[in-house]
Amino acid sequence: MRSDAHEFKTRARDALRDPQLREALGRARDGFVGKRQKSIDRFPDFDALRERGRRIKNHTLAHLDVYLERFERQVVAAGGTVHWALDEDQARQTVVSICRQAGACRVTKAKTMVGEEVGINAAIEAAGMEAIETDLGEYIIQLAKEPPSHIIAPAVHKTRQQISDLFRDHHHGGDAARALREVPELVDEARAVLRQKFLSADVGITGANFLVAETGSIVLVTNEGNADLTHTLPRVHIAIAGIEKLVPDLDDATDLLRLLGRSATGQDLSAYTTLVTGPRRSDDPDGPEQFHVVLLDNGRSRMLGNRFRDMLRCIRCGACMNHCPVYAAVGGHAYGWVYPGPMGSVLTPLFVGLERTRDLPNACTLNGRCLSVCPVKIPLPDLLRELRGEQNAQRLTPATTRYGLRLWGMFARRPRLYHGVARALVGLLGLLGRRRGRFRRLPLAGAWTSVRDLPAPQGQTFQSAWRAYQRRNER
Amino acid sequence: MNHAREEILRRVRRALKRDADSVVDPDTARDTAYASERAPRPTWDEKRLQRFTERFEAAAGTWCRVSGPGDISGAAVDFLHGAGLGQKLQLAAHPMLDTLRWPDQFKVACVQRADPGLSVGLSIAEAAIAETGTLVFWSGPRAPATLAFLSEVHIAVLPLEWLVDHMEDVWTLLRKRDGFPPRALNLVTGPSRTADVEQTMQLGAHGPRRLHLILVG
Ligand code: SF4
Repeated sequence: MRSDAHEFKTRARDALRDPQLREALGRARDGFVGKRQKSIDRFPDFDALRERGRRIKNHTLAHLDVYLERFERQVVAAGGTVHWALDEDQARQTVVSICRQAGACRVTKAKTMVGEEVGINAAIEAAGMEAIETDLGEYIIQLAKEPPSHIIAPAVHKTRQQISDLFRDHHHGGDAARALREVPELVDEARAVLRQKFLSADVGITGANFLVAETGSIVLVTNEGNADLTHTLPRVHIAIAGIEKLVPDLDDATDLLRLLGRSATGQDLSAYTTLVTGPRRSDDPDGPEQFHVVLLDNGRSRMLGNRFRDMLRCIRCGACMNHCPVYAAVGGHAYGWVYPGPMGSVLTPLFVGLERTRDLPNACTLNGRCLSVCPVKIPLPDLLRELRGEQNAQRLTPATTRYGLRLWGMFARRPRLYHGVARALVGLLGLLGRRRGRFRRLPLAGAWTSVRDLPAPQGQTFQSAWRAYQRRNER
Repeated sequence: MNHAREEILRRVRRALKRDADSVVDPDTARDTAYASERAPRPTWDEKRLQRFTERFEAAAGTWCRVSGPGDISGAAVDFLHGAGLGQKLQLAAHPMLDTLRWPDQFKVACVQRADPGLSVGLSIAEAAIAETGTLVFWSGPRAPATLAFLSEVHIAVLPLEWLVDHMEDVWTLLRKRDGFPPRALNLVTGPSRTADVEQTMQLGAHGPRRLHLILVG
């Protein structure tokens, strides 16, 4: 998918002025954070499980070639086919050619972030076929012609009023009598419309939450049941997944499922967790005749070999964005690509390139909440810092910032000098601001003082105040 | 795309600083890394059945208990009657359901594929998990997946001796069976739901609106 990450600042500014978005985001954050906490309170060992999750993924990544081959062998043994795609282009071509060979007219889709990454819908439509999202959230944003703004709840930025309007226009020809409607009515209407699509689809496309090397199975997790209708009813099932989705066996998948449900939606387990292995068997009454898995690299093997390997542990739970103050303020669209929030601020520059994503690693306060909730302990703040360093090294940051940092670095390496200068400056500011206690305007701090006052320091640095305090206590 | 396969594996190996013939033993490495230790799992004080029903209800499932397989039809009839769900029913072709007797006025069809126009489907679970209140369905001629997904109301039957504590126990149990894994192994925890409109939980998104369990034994 095309990236608009370079527009972060403009989009963030617009988002901050959008009252409907503010309403939707506020509701979502409270819901996600509270539900996660409740489910973890019931499971005191959760932190130990996070460590286990970290080790499972680290081990798998360190032996990824072996597990990929093992997985492939098992898929083939179960009667399925594995396709490999180096990049977005190859993934799209593979999927489109399978659909063409199946003589498909209509393709149903269950939510897949990798599908978004490679822009599968546009490719299917360009090939003259209809692609329909079946996850309710994805369906809503497909009608709105927008990308997802959250990896778990793609339409989290939409209010009920906006959804009512979309359904009025798309299901009722804009009939003005259809005003704001209740949630059950909207869900029922989507159910009826999509049921017909399910029953008439030729190909079903899903992602995969995990790929199990032991059995050659894919694990699919939904609450709606849409992934199951997507892979059970059509003649052909295509699952598309990144190569980092591998796990060695079903017990490992189980540990990760315990982490995923709680971290994503505060559920011990989502309503539907399905292990799909191969196409329909000879005595099966349902299931597709063909089962394809498309394994996507698209930059992942590069991450495996550099400082960003930790990021490949990500199980796409969304907890980091649910707990991120920046995401909560600007929403997912500001990030400009498929993956928003902290994980997106790491992934997007790695996939799209630092050049076009300058603001993302900097749209972070380094408060560390994302790391503290991540179920596989990805050091997101460290990775963001790495990216900032990389930007600086590649001279992608503004010259003033670079010189400022160099100057600061010079002082920071000489603690005595640093403290001396800090004492002098703080003393001076304290003196200057003594009367009002704050500054309306200050040279070099325009970005701060344009929207709020800067409180004047009290005239002493923390270090010197602390030393004075200790001396007093010694006496 | 054979080229892509070789290229991806080559890149992965290069990233891992290995070549195609390096000898690696992932299974031993896995034991050392974590697998020899037992994973932390949720625990509980109640009896297994109590934990199961508590979690099952928390996931919006309803249930009743009968003493033997002969009582399944009675329980299903009572449920349909109580919920005002009519007198039509689609059954899976399972030996446990073959000999059941149904009231004359009931229209009961044994199906291989659920008719989406008919609203109630009944099938047998192969196992259940107390930890999460989850039912496990093995797709195949004895339990067509469409019954569990196209029905408006899904009635499930579970013999009590098939209830286990944790998900790992299901794998231990089913790995031994012929034909494992089936094309689809469905782990179902309550009826279908969505929170995609304003984070409001709504049952019956695409799958069944209700899930009712008949526990046998
Ligand atoms: S980075 Fe961690 S918290 Fe964020 S989506 Fe990935 S696994 Fe979840």
